[in-house]
Amino acid sequence: MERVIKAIQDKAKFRLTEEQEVKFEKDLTSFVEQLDKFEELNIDDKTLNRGNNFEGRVSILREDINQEEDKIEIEKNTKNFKDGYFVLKEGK
Amino acid sequence: MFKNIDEFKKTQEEIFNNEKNSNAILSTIKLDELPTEGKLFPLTFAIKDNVAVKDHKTTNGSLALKNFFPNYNATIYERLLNNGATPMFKVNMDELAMGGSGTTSAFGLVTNPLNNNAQVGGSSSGSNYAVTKGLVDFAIGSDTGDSVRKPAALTGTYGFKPSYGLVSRYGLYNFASSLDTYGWFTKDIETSALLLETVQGIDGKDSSMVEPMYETYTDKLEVNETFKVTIIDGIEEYINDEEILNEYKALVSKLENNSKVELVKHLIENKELFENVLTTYQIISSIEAFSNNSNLTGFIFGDDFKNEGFDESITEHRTNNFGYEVKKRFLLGKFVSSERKNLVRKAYNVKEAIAIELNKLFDSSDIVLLPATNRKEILLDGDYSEDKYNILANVLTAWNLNGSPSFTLPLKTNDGFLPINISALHRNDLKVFQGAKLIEGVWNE
Repeated sequence: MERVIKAIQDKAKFRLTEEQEVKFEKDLTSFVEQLDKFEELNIDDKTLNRGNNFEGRVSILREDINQEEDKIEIEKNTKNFKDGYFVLKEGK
Repeated sequence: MFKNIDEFKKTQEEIFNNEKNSNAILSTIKLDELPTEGKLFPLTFAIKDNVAVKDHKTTNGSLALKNFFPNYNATIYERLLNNGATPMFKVNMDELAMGGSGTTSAFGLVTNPLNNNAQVGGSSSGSNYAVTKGLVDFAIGSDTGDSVRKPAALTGTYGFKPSYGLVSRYGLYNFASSLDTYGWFTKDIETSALLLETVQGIDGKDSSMVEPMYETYTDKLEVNETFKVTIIDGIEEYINDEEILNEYKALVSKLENNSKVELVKHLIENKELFENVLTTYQIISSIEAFSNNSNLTGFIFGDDFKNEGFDESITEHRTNNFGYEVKKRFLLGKFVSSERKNLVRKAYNVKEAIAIELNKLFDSSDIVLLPATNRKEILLDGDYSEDKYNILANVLTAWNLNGSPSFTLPLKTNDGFLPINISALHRNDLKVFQGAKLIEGVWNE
């Protein structure tokens, strides 16, 4: 724990005071417990897959907007989307 | 209404001096002339200190920005001015909008005007204080996780968060960009609706914006057809306060017996998903917050550059100028992104899973109605760690995860108020105002 707390302080580029370090150790322990519970959480594959691709993200964000113009916009935007990246120029 | 600019300045100074001990007001806003007309005239307002006001100190509640003067106005500030509102004060807030309590500002603790030993809520602590005390007609805050709506629930003010993207964030200091919205405190529903009318709409400086569905709201508040209201079956088990429990039951009973309302009961099937709302929020917001604030090095916004090396200089600046809550959240973000990397992607997936589940609540109804909080008071020295998995304690944050409009309002009771929250689908802000008006009417019948 001590090593990890020092390492993340280095990454964040600041130091905790001694008093803050004691407090943080408690907070981190509690957070790790939350993360463990979070790791156990199952969300179904369909949801995961939708979240992992661009079309899925757009449709989730916009599924409440059932306007024709929005649908057209989504189709237009996804044309050049391949493997998680926008293809700006086709390679030879 | 002020007779002239001198009277305005005198009033500002009097309020500022009277409120010195409360720490709620950070500074007065200097004006050369007063507005004389507009949709918001003659309303006065306070604005959270994370909103850019040109040539006016804007600290974000942090020592790291203690001497920062933006050279531009936030879009929301311009629009309020253009519509005749009179700005009076920059108000205190939790440091970098992190805290949720009113206790983490570098510029002092703000407590609840209704009980000095209780939290006023945060991060929009000064905004809530100013409206609760009647110092201004409305106050602008920001809401990333519930920072307007939760404080409103603790003081009996009206706290509204619009749909994500409806109001330009240009000039609002970023906390977690995918969740950040403005929000505001008012004393009634009408003023809240009027504010959305005047500040919404695309301005070209914020690429995350969406077009509003309605140009106006105040002329559409009354509904003639039956309104469908979803309530969550079993939410009572998450209420820790007996008064809230009894009053909420009384409200449901009133709604059941009212012909203007069709009550739809929805059972949350995936409780585990909603028990993880806080953790999802913490992962996403702490990671985005660190990126958004990575420019707080002491070079750009401060005068802390030391000639002892780049990294050493940044480290010294941040160590000396960040409070514990900010350090904690940055470190938790760094911890997840370095030690539990797989959970970062998962958090964004869970965010979307929660959004899907929430949107299902509107399949057969116009709005969702919930108690706005699980407790009426949060004491300054209380331990509420048990709330981290309490669905109701964190439900307001869930509405940030799906971008819904969400409105906390107080229903007056014999000895206080019942804080309720009303939400609707993204961009259906009108339904939130209509629902609020209807339910307030039914409660008062």
